Amino acid sequence: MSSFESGSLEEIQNWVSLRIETKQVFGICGNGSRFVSSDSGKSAENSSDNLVLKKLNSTRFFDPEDMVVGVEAGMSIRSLQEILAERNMLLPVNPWFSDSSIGSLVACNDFGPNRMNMGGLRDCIIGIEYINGKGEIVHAGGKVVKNVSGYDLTRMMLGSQGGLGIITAVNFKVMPTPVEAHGMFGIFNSESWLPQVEELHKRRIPLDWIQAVSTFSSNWILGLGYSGNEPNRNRIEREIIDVFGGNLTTLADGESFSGQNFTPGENRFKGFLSVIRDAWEMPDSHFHVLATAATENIINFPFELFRKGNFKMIIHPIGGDIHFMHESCDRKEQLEHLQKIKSALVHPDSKLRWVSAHADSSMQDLGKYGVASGYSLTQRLKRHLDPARVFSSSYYDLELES
Amino acid sequence: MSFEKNIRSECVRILGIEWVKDDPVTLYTYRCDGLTLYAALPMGVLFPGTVQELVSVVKLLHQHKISFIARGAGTGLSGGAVPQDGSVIIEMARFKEVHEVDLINRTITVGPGVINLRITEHVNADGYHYAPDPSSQKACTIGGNVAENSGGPHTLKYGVTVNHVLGLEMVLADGELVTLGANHFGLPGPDLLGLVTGSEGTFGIITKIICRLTPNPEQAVTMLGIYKSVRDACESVSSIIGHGIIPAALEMLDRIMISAVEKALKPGFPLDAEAVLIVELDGLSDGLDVEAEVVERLLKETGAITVNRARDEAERAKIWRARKEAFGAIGQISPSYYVQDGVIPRSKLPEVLDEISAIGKKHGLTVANVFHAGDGNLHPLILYDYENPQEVEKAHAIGEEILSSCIKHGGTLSGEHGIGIEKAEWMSELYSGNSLDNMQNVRAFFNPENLLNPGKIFPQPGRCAESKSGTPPQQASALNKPKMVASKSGIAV
Repeated sequence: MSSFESGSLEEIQNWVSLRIETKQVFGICGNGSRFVSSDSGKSAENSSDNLVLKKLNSTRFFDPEDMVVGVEAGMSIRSLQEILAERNMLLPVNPWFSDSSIGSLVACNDFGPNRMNMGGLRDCIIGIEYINGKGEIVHAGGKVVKNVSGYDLTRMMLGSQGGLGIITAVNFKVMPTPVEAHGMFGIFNSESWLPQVEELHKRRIPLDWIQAVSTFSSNWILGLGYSGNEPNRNRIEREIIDVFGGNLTTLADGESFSGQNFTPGENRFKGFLSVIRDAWEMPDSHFHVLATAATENIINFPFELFRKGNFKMIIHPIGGDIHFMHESCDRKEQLEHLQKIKSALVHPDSKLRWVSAHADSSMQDLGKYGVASGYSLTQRLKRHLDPARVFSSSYYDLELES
Repeated sequence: MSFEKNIRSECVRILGIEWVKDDPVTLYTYRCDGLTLYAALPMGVLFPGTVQELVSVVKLLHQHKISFIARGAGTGLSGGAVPQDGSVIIEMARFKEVHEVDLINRTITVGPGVINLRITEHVNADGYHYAPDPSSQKACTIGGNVAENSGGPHTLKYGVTVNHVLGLEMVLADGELVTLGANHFGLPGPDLLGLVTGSEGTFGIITKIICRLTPNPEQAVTMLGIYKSVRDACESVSSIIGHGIIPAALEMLDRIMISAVEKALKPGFPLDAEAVLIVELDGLSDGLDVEAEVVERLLKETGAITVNRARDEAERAKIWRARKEAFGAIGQISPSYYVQDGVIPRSKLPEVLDEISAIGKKHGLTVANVFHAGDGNLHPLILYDYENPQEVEKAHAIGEEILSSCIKHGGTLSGEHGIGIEKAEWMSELYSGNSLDNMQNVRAFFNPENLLNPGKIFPQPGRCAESKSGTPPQQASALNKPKMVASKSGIAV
């Protein structure tokens, strides 16, 4: 297996064009953080050639006054956030790995708890540059925040998992860092917080995020993030206390909850990583599946069953997702875990993605849970846009039972 | 292909006689949309009432290689619903069912013929609304909104249509019925839902839409900044955004627009002002006044001579009526107008507005401005007399120079009206040949025979030397730009 790595768009285009000409399948790698579903990662590993975009990492433009930025695909989300933070701005996306490249985040349509109130990548992307199935560098969208000039190919490439072209640069609209990020945190030894979250949801209180994390002691840490001026925050806190009682701790950004590095602001993810990933020393083959589902399905999900089955979970209950993790690295056990999750996801629109799993795991394991509606159309689109069949991505290869 | 001889009887068999029209009055009615500068008569107009009926007529038209155009309320402003090669119009007004309201998941599922404002009216008592609010929201349909990816004044904070559509069902060019999206975001795979949104009816005909519902703000504070210069008003916009405040809306009217709305609607805007800036903040009532005070200070620091705050809902409604009916108010000062929809980086607003004014003066026509200042989405209204052919030509020339200015400043052709016929020739100015070919290749996937809304979005072969359209020559030769007609624009958008 060989890798090609370059920071030159022209060199990358030439390399890709040659593979199209010779119909040689290749994989794409960003920063190697492997947020991409293990299945896609595996496709890349199985290819004889790999295109590594890590060095394609320049800032194309940053116009703070217009709150837009354009960067190349190999830049890490961490680097981008650092650039934006200097002007008190952010891209409201919090990936699992902060070293994930921008290209991979877009290719995977990543998101995080901020999506609840601030939107995910889908709501921030305004322009894209990619190498298409003919080896051409093409552009769509632009540098302005509103644009209906032609087809929105930025969104077509969003979530395309490397199968429709090579993303080389992305333009985003960004947002000001929230004023006075605060949070309320509490520990629960049962799922009693779920109906309370539902009640808060019904009250239409504008929270920035809600996140529940199951810990090693079989408790839940529930965090509710919000921001704004003092009267605004006080009102939100009153509503939360009214629903949850007085058992939650209020923290300002930078303050840590329960000594576990859970903080209200942008650094709150350190807590999840330190509590779950780092403490677990998660091997690459451990079981980690991301489920996306509607609010109602998450609120009514049988979490207790999974908590007692030694699953660790991170839940974003509103319009959200559930990370299921289990320390099991055994293929057979992992398939059993997967089946258990499928059985509990009663709504057909609930979907699953591998984040990490045994090396033999595949899209086929996920079955219909791994693909969105209109999948047949997507497969046909892939064949149309990648006639040489060189863009390796197993997302498009699934054979579903009719 | 003659509609009368070969297709009509089949359509009548599928839809019933009352839902197949080809009488002169109907054909004339459907010759254009809200942009009356372009018009052409359709071959016929069909009114399917069910998905099955729609699938059947689409299959029939596909079989006979007759082009067709889905149409909502016809309020579009880019000629997107003009049947320029004699296409059959498929009117979707009968798809006006509200299928489901799901408050826990904050969604509403509706037919494409449901009027935008009806969605909000349907759920308002429950404390929700549908956020994208084009000024034509009393008339435009949600299907048309999805086709054009419509916006509106409140998209600065809440986003445009694509941010509020979760799923849809549509009929492809050959009659295949597909579903995209779901009742939540975060689905795996390419975002085809996002791709279809804004495709101007060239990918399929939408039959069902799952929309996001947004909680109603507890309170809204609407302020009106009065300015002696447009440049100062633009400074206020930058200052507010620069302080990390994203208002629900930031809308600007210049002196000419102020004059028109005062004559028509009497909102109380001072006639000696060069610009007024509408700023709306919304959210929880607690803390909103604090934020409003900050904004008021910023407005004054950047040149507002007065800042008035709406004291009650009636005053707020008066301000918004003036904004949303501003286009119609132009009738008070001009026989007709031609509106553009370019977008520029917000920081370029003062420079581009100066250029627009100069372009108008150069051609001897007045250009009024009412626009989404927070988004940099301009709406210059070129005022002309539709009975004066020279003024019609000048209006076109001014429109083209304005678009050129937008592109020159790093902007784009359209922020919410779409490309349609009107700006199709300009696409090759905005995108490289490769990029445009790439878009056409995507169209060729969804619409390989170019039967769905032909002649829109892309430059037509033979009319643009730079165009490298993938349109098959035999199809392209049949496409002729519809006759440009001068008529009075009267739709309030």
